[in-house]
Amino acid sequence: MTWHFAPSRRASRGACPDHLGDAETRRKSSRDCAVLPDASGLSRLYDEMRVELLRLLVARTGDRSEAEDLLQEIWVRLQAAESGPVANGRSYLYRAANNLVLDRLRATSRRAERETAWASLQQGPNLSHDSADQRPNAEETLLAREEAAALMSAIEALPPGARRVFRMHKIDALPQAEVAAQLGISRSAVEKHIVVALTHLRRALKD
Amino acid sequence: MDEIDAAAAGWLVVSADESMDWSGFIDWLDADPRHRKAYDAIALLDDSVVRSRTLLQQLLPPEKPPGALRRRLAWGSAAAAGIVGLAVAVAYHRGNDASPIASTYVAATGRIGTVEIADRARVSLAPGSRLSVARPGGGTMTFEGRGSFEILHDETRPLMIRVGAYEIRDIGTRFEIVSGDGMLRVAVTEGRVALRHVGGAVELGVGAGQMLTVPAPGAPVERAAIRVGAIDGWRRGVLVYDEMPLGLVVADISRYAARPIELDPAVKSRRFSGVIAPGSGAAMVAALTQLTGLHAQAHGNSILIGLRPGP
Repeated sequence: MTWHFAPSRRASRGACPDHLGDAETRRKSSRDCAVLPDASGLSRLYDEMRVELLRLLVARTGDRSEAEDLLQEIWVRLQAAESGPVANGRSYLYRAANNLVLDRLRATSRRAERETAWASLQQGPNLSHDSADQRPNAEETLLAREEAAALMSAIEALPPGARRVFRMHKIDALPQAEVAAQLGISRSAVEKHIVVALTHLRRALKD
Repeated sequence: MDEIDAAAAGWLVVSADESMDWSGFIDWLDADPRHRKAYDAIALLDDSVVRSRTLLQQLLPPEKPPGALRRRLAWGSAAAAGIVGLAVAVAYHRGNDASPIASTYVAATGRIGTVEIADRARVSLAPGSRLSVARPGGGTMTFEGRGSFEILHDETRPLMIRVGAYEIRDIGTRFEIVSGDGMLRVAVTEGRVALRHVGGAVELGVGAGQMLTVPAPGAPVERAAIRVGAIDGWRRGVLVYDEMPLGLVVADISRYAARPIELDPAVKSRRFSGVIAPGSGAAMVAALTQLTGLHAQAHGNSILIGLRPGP
């Protein structure tokens, strides 16, 4: 699933209500809050699903205030994103929430890697730049190559059936249905192979 | 624990489905703090594989093909390339030390040529098609025209075939290439190949029963299923075309006829399905124009095919 956003605009937190309330509250909100008139079905669906989405976010993050932060972020991004027909809105919003947690995890783990690499070089103040700098620097490229090399040896050690399916789907980017068709197996067999592969990789790459 | 990791992986894999039970997923996450950590780790791992895709495609050796193909291609290990049925001279390009660094094979008019490359590949060339081999034993080949490829898979020596502005990487296969005029079709009957634009980062895999078509130079690549009978007809004496861009059809016929045949650019990407018997240039063009409603005109030695002139 891809979700294309305009560059993320943080809502001005002071001016926005803590919880996006009903339509009446939104209409009365101050203008410098990133709350816009509700036009799309997704926004309506978001309102209906807020409680469930928050439950998911709390379950994933284990931190209620971070979860609320992320919930609001979803709202902001919904307003900024280009509208277009979305087939299954509920599924879409759940996956969006799930992916947003992944984005945060990724940023945190990169910062941690960068800080470790830097810290191992010197004793002084930590001068690692923040994640606003998007250009890959030499250090990031090196980390990417090391990451790929570690993945490569773990993938090569996978059992052959799982490895073949994993490579076709995750690396050659063939859709699961196509992998199933090419190998003459069922879609659920494809899913099982990928689960086996991921479990092996996790075991191999655990620190 | 492995079971928790496996459960996390299970949830991750099914999360892309419309049928995902999100409520059940939330309950599982809430049931034990280790579940959340395990899911985070699996999600990050999956994400890092996807982000490393390009590098991994380069680093990972090709998969072995199913056992049958390897058994069938067990030729003796000839030290040099064998040539069967090629009526035209082989051109050697010599390096400084006078040893051949490249060989080019061209199949003559009316003759199908077969090139065997020591222990690596057997290629059947349709008339007028050309294969250059940079080194004895394989490596990178350059190809133009129509050919049927049987590649014996070797992980230590991956095979690359350069066709115009594209590259095809062998992953252990039997496949056919038709090329001409900047267009290209690769149809795989066994195994897999990977196609990419030279210097491009994205590779498209194509497996057995599928074909990729480049319908115009630099155009988006199309994927379709191979129709039974549409491959290898040329080896039995008929040219069978299945939704083939006319540019490729005309390039193909032109090679068979050993006569320049040109096509109005306006119709180069039109698709053609039909059967043409190899014969003289005039006869093949007559068959093509009859089937497509196009118009042909002789121009000295060459033939021009285009839209019918208006009334």
